[in-house]
Formats: sequence, structure tokens, C-alpha cells
Amino acid sequence: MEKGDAALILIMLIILIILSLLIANIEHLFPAPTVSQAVQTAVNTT
Amino acid sequence: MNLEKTKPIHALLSALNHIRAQPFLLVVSSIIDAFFFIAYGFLTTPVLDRIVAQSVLITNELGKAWAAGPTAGLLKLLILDPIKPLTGKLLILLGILFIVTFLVWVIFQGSSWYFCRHLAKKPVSYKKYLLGFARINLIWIAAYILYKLLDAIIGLRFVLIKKFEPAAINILGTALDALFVLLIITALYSYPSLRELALFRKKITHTLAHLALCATLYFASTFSINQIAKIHLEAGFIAGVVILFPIITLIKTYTIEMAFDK
Repeated sequence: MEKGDAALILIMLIILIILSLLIANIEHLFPAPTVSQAVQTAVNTT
Repeated sequence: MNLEKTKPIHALLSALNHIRAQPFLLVVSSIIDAFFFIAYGFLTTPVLDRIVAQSVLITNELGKAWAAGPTAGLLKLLILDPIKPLTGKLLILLGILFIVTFLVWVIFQGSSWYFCRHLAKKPVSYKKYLLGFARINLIWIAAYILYKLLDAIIGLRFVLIKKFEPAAINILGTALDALFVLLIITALYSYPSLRELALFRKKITHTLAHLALCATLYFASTFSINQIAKIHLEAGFIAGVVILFPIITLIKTYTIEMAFDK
């Protein structure tokens, strides 16, 4: 391990935590139908 | 002919010797690989679900447009109302998938390959390797997303063609899959030295032998795991963790040995 490696690992951990939080809340941030809802819509229209 | 002196076998034996001498690095690299699969599944499944939902909605709208009579081409339909907003959402979701996949791949696989470099006694600075790994993967993941986009377009097109000609064969899809396999092999060969076209600088016979040995190692391990899982599911899971990840580490170390073997 060299100088700066610990900081890089810390940055990567922070990135992973932010990604986890974003993905856990994707339905609120990005409202879209679920797969079953989309299939149901397709079935209803055909 | 002395097999041990041939380059692919010599590199494999060398990789095995290095792993035997440094079991701790083997465990570290295997654990990172295992965490990669967990993190990738956890972070991409919700996005993939939404991409599938959006694709179903788009296919439905395309079906309606085509049923209404002669219309514009497929790509033109995708950027016209009423499909345009759905296409926009699909592209945003693909963008999110691109970013998440890229970050998870670089963080976990970059670290795993770094430890494999140490296993193969080709040490490198962590920061330097990870940044190089990120740079090279920008190219590979962009190519992967392009493949996915083309795959989606060709797939949609083929679904529509099948409606008119049920016996149609998806030649374009097969050609695209062959290109994708070549992309994976090129990426695999680029990781040890972080050179994009390292694959094409090697002797084709050595490359084919190396690939055949890697495929044998991988499929022999997955076959064994499947057989164990058929007898006992939990035992199969444990065997999967104990056998598969060290084999992946061995394949990486072997690839590094091949890349640096003069």
C-alpha cells in the first residue's frame, strides 16, 4: 500500500454507499411501472 | 514434445506455483470477487427491472403503431410521439445502468485484478492500476452498452419480423453475439498490462490454448458445483464459494502470466 491508497479506498467506499442509497430509493427518484404492471398494460391493450 | 516447456502450460504451472506460495492473496482476491457478484446483483436488479418494464411498454406501443398500418422505420418510430417519452426514460435508465455497472466493476474487479498482479509477482501501485483499469473499462463498458442497444434494436426488429415470417432466423443477432464474445476476450487480455489491444499482439495458437484451458477450468468447476448441488443444495452453495472464486482467481493469475511471459 502506498501513500494515497487509503484515501482512494475511502472514496470508493463512499461511492458504494451513495450508490446503494440511490438504488434503494429508485422507485421514488424514478417513478416507472414495475414489470408486472407493464405486462398488464400490454395485455389490456391487446 | 515436452508439454511443460510450451508457453501456455508453463504459464499455468507458474500461476499455480505462485498461488500455492501466497494462499492469503488467493483468499483476498476470491472474497473480492464474491462481493462483486453480491454488489452487482443488489445494485443493478432494480434498474434492470425498470428497463424490462420500459421495453415491454415500448414493444406494446410499437405493436399498436405497426397494427395501424404502414408506418415509418423502427428507429424513427422510437423518436416520435407517443413512444418518444418512453424511449427517453429507457435511455436514462440505460445511463444509470452504465454508471452503476462501471463503478461496481472498476471498484471490485480492479481490486481483484490488482491482487492477482501481486499473486503473479508482477506488483503495481494500487492507485495507478485502478485508474488505468477505470480508463480501459470506459472503452469496454461503452462497447458493452452499444452491444446492449444494438441487441435491443435487433431483438425488437426480429420480434416484428417473426410476426410476418415465423421461420425467420436471427442472423444479425448471432453475428452480434459472436462480436460480443470477441469483445470479452479482448477485455480479458487487456487487464493484465492495461493495453487495449494486447490480445492481438499474442501468438494466436498460444491464445487459443490459453482460452481452451481457461474454459476447461471454468466449466469443470461449474459442472462439479452443479453435480454437488443436485445431491445437496447447501453443499452445492458452499462448493460454489470454495471452488468457483479461487478458480476465477487462478484464471486471472494465469492470464497475467500469459500476458507477461516472453
